[in-house]
Amino acid sequence: MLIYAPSLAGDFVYEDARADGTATPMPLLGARRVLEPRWLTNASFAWTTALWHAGPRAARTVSLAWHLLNGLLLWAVARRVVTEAAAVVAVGLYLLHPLQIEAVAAVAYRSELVVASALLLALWCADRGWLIPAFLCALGAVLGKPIGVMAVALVPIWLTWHRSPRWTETARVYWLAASFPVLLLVLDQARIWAWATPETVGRTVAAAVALTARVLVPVRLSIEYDAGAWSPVLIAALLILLAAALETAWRRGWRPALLVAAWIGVSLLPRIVWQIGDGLHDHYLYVPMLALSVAGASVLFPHTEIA
Amino acid sequence: MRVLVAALVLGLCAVCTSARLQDWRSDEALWRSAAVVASASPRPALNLAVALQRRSADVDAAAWAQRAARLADTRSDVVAGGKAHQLLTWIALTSPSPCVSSAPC
Repeated sequence: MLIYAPSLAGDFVYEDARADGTATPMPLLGARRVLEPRWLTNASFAWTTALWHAGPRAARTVSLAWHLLNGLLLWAVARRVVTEAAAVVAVGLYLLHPLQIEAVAAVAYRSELVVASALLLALWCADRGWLIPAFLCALGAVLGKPIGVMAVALVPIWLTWHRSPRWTETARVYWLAASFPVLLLVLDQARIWAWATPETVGRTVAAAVALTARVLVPVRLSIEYDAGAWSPVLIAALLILLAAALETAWRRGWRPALLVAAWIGVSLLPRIVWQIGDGLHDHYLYVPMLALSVAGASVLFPHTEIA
Repeated sequence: MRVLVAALVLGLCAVCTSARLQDWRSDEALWRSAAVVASASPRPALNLAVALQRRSADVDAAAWAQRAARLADTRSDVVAGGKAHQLLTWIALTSPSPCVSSAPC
């Protein structure tokens, strides 16, 4: 990844202080704390410090290697759904798109890489009919960050999109039943966050539309966007545009577009409903880019077949 | 033809990524680019001021902190405004440069 090589020499930036492995001393095999949220993310910082050193070069190299690993996993998953050429293009888009920079170059957002790995492993298992391991892998996304639990909902969306023969009615019922306690746990945690108002929902959805538009035109990217400058008229116009696009996609059966909409919607749902954080950032699209890359590649190489 | 289009798209992505990565060299570069994109938001200006102050570029830091304070007043952002004024006070107290007051030097 020669493109990313210059970023390895940079300083720690913004929230990277949380990636200081010396601040989270943890036994390499700290089994007692293995199952807490963000364990794998925090442990990776501690392992990098313990096995290499605590500087930004080591941390960014590990993040870059993890990004490459996710590219390989995406190739393994995508080639079962689209043609080989489309799978290669999807991986290329996923690895090289400018929106991915924030999740890779900012060490603090390694949690996104961990969630994507868990989700890809879950998809890989689910495509082979190993639904229990798939569910456990999806649940394991919480080891990246708590919102990673949405991976549990993303797997059935993927299986439904490409009409997987493994996704029988029985499997669907069992998956939904197992997801119920997970969602209850998330809702329980949600009590500590602020519930959204109609205004914040509209503003966040509009911000999500604008962020997704940057996938097509990745210019003027920023660590922070100014959604506060938007007028209610602009927000309403964006929401109407979104509704019209979804309605058109549904009527014409544009399955890639519906996959993308469902993935982005589910991935960002906690931030829309529970007002987590302030505004939307590029790294929130690291997981949705999995579907965006495959959908984009399948538009370019439109023949789809199930392996 | 499709292969050509795919190669073009991936090539454009690589070029945009390479250009954008320059902003990730340091906090200063990162927040300077953010201050351009979100020019009406006080946070990027404030964070840029902090990054400049850490580098002891007190004159530039004070200018950006003043900008952040003005933008925060416009938005009624009490938190950002408070932090901007705090930073301005800190720079005024600690900077050896005579050019960090609100009056132009």
